[in-house]
Amino acid sequence: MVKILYVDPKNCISCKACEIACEREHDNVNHIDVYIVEDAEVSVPYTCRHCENAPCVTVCPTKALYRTDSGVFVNYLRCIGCRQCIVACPFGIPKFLDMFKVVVKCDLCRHRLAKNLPPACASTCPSGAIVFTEEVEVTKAKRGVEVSKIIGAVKTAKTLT
Amino acid sequence: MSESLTPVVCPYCGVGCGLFIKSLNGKYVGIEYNYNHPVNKGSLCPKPNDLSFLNSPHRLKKPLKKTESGFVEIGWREAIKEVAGRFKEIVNGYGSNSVAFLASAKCFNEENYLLQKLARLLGTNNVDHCARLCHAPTLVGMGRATGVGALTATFNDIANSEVIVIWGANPAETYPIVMGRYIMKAKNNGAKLIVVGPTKNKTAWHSDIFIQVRPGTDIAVANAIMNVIINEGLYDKEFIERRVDGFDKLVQTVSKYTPELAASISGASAFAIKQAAYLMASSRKGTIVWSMGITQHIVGQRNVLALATIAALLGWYGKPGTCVGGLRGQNNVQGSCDMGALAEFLPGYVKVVDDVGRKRIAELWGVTELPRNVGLTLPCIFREAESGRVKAAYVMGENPVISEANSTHVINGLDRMEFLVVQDIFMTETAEHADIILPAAAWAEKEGSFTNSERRVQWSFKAVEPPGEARPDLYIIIDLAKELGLEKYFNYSGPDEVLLEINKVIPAYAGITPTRLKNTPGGIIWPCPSTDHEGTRILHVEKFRTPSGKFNIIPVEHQPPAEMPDDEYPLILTTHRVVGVFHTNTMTGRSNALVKRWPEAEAIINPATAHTYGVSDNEVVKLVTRRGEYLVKIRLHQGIQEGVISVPWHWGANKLTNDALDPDASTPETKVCACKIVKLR
Ligand code: SF4
Ligand code: SF4
Repeated sequence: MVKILYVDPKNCISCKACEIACEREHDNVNHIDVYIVEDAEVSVPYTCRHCENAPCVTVCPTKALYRTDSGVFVNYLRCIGCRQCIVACPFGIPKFLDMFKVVVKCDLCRHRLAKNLPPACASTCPSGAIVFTEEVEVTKAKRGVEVSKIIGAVKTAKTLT
Repeated sequence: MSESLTPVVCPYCGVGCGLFIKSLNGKYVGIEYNYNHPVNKGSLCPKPNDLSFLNSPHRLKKPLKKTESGFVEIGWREAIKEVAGRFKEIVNGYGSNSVAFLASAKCFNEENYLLQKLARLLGTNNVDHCARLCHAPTLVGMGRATGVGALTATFNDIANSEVIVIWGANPAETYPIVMGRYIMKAKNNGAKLIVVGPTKNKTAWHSDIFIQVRPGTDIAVANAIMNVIINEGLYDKEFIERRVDGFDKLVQTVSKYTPELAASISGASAFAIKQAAYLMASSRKGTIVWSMGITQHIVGQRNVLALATIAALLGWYGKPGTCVGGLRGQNNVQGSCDMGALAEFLPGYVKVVDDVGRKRIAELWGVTELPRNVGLTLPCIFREAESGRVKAAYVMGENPVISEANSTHVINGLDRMEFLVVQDIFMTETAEHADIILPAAAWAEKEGSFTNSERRVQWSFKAVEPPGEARPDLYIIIDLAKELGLEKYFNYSGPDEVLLEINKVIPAYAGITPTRLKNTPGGIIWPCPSTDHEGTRILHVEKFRTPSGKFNIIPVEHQPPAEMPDDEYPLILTTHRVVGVFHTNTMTGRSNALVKRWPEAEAIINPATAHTYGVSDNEVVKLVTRRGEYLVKIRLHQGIQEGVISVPWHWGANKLTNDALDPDASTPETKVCACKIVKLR
């Protein structure tokens, strides 16, 4: 099964380790940003969703943006810098890199995946706000917690009757 | 040569995370995550994600000597001769207690062990380090209550707790891996989180109950929580009966601390106090951990006693899923305390005044006697320097000009001394005042053992080469000792031999031999009395390590801070830390990815307070206390109480803080003083 980058802001402790890890792995450009919203007391790690039917891929005239089974990637050599993907992406993810005149975005640390290592952000994240895993694992874990709560409730109910 | 990966322990906080340093031809090129490390399973907070300070062009590469025309480079031979010569002169002229040694919570156990040995063989107990500024009250308080100053169990036990109380601490910023991997895990498994402190910080964002208290009123709130637990009969009667001394005294003391009284003293809500008491008492598997918000007060030690006693009422000792103690701030602050780098303790917490224990160590070292009077603690070293009684100091990897309360006096003390040696990896604010600066190798450029907050002793391997002529602290101390005529006692070829001696001197480390340690990734948790012992995760299982074997309740009363706001200084000043900066910013301040995100100090105040004083977000103001002034940018923050201003101390704000001392632990009251805001325009 393919692994996804699962981001759950509820767990985020606002440390920005993911930003720095990403920046280290991608020549000083970070593709994940943590928005710390003091008033809401929530921090949102924000990065590419790797959409199945990705609008950026759809609009890219040169097929520089493409999707594989694992995610959405950019072929920098094909990118003509037309910025159509920036227009199309509902999440504001692709960034235009002035120095190279191409668009860049999260590549799931392809170079690490090739060595069987998880992406840097998921590796470093202390809190489990970012995990690189199969979707079923996430749902299984969530169900597990809820089921154990129900078991607790049933046990209590039994002692009462 | 190709890239290689070397396992090291993180150089920053006391969590003790493991990682690999990626090096090419002996130079740092990056890091890799250590997914199998038992503490952090790979994950790291922001700080070690950029360790580029190792390659900084500003690293010290040669010994330096201060001259009329500034610092000049000298050779190692000359430097060691000069240091030894001047120290001899001063000891001969003014006596052994005219010199002082500052050990380092950043250096290995072996190095701290040698530095305190050197001090003691020169005839003085004037050896101390920054544990004095942080968890000395924990050491003393937990020592009196339970017999051991260290954390009672491991991080895993925190994760298995059902109630977690975090008091005067912000692990989301200062202990991110414990917050993320252990506390959040417990929470996701249904544990409840109670946070107590003056600011609704990023840890408190995740709390079920947040009790907001004015700085310096913790005892009132703790006593009120115990008042409720006792009055409602919610305590662990069996545990109190069997394992605790002094319950009746406690009942008497806390009886007057109603939640309402505590609320009036602390500004907290009486309802929240009651709610917290009920929630804590709902489980016999709980954690109470604290940090500087508890210890850096004139009542620091008493704060610790109060929190330790709450845990005793609930039976939160000696079993899985319970954990009580201080979250230690530096990667080896536990270890440097264990090694006896403290004015009142020899290695293994043998009191210097304990004749039997001292004699035993003297014999092991091959001398007839060791100094028997308690030495000067860190703050007292600088006071005595200022008044001219301490003439020389040797500072290994510490930066008191930034870390000490009321730092102007530290500077005066340093400048008044006849001779100051600083051994460090960068030209720190403290090194600027030195007569001789010795360039040290950073942790990744040498090897040795560190002890984390869980008492976990781990070996950190050498990954890269030191720059220029920088040398490991261990060898510098050995050379100095030899030059001082102590070669007989410093006959070591490297850290392994030092650790073998530690195995003999400190019973809790007896089984933690170098060979074993190097072959045990993740380390061994002390007490480990023999080489076939697997280490001890949970303390106080059968009995406490007090003389009676029982938990010793020492009830404490609320006492206001040394300095309270008045008409002239109407605000309370407290301090905090931020996640991407470590302590005096010597290392993090030279790592680009961190500096970019955490460039400068931001003092936080409530918008209402800002309104009263007519200051706005982002405005630079002058903060003034009776001890100094400090320019800082203001950031408005709903989460802080009105009338309180909190400033991060990494960038020099300790000019402002109060150095009134806790009489029991000698820790300054850095966490509360009176302050005013002066607008610049
Ligand atoms: S590393 Fe994890 S906890 Fe830290 S900011 Fe990123 S998502 Fe949040
Ligand atoms: S939590 Fe502490 S030990 Fe772990 S990576 Fe961060 S600073 Fe290092």
